Amino acid sequence: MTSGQPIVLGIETSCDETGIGIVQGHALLANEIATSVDEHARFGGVVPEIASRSHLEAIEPTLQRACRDAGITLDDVDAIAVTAGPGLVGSLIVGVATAKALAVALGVPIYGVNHLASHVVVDELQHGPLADPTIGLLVSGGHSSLLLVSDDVESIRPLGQTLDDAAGEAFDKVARLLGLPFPGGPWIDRVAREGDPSAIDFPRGLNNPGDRERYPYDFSFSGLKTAVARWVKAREAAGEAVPIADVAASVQEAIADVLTARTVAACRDHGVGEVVIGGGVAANSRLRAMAEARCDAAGLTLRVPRPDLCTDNGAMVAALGSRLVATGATPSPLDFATTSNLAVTRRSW
Amino acid sequence: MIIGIDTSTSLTSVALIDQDAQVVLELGHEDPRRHAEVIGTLLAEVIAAADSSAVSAIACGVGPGPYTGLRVGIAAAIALGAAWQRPVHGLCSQDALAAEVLSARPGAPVDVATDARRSEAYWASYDAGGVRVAGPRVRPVAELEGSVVRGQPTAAWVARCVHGLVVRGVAPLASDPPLDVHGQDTGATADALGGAGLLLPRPLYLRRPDATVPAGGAA
Ligand SMILES: [Zn+2]
Repeated sequence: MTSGQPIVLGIETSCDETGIGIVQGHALLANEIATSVDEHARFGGVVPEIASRSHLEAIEPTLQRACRDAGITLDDVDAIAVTAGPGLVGSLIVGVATAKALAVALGVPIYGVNHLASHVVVDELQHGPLADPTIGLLVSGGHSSLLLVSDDVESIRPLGQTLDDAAGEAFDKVARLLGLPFPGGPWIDRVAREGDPSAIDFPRGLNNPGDRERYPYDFSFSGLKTAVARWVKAREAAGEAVPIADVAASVQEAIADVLTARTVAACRDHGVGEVVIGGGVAANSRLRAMAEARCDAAGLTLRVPRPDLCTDNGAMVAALGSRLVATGATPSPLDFATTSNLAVTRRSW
Repeated sequence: MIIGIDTSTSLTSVALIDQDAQVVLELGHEDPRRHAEVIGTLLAEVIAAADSSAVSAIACGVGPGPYTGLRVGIAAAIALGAAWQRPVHGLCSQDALAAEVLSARPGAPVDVATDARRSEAYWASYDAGGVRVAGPRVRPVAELEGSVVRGQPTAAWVARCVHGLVVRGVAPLASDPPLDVHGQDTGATADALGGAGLLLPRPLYLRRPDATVPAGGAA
């Protein structure tokens, strides 16, 4: 390998994707993923023990593929970064044990990093350095958060989050109600293309004046799921066919509306000019279109990484690790813990 | 030299043995919930005592044992093997315990058991020559007789067992034993395993995963 910036290997095992990414500075050298999503599909959600088993089976082949892709050997790696949380503990532990052993065997520093922060920083691999500060909207099956990210990624300020279901979870639950497969997001997106987004006025959650004041940047999607269930049941009770496309389009509209409205409000209130959207739900076509339109209208720059960088992956972990190396951050102690509910304000441990 | 790792019980155990199977260094930490935290420090100390170019293989206990902790040691062993391009040998953790018991008390068959939590134990039975003749299986603790030796396998014992098998030229088992399909251990894994010694670095789960979806979803 040629000399130059340090090579950072990132390991991500917080949920059902085993991800290994290799980054040099802002250059992405490899991003290999093994997913156990098919094994979870028949249960309608991620089964933690299945995910943990899959990580352990996939970790070495994924590691070897990533090195081959990047054209390096493990000896070329200058630092290891690994997701320390938040996530499923049994899954996190597989990545962390692997990372610690790699770090001591190779004699390189290790950085336990925050999964949510890496969802934001990953965009540097595609679109260059982040503005300071940036608003991050993270939406996936596990999280719906609005973050204020300053140049020092170790001090992320959480502005708001979902009070109940994550946005991706809401898609999954509605998909189940409509008889669509897991994971629900891509299916709702596909079916919604044939539907009318204004057909049904589903609730936006936390939208009455009192809630808006108390929870300006938070989300709530459990009421939406209940409303859809009630609406579908009423149709069926009346012996009418359920217009699946219209329901899907209207649900998607409600979710995209709430997410984008609060993101734009957060930018306005905090004087921030740039937005990064990350997480699997960032792939939703309606969310992307609405975010573009609203950011445009508000004079905001919108950054959305390409889909393989939005979903959970190792490159995002390597990207944050690379940034920590570049800024001279102190490596993690070897005995750092995995934390299922790791606060986004903390890099790790 | 062989580096041994075992996390099949509440003990996180790491050891280094030399070419004569003598223990150079053995470290352990007893805590059922902190395997992933302590493994790095323990490994760093053991590796500092080793000349990595002289390490010929990694040996790891593959259980059976409580899954979350068990995976920590196996993941670490796989990573060491990948980093140094050395073979990683799995060993049924109870084999290591039985071998120790037999070396102290040769000439008679022995049954051993390790803690499986919830009033259960991982049990296996060995003939006087140390060959596994039954198990490993999950059994209620109440079912175990007084003659069953209960204990904790250590990394040094695992490494020594693997060393013995390698020296004797025992061929490693090349594929995973199947799991039984009913969510209960009916002995299918143990039967498929036979008395085999060197295994792949894969956990001996003995059970299909509990397929319950958590209410909160995941990150
Ligand atoms: Zn994520």
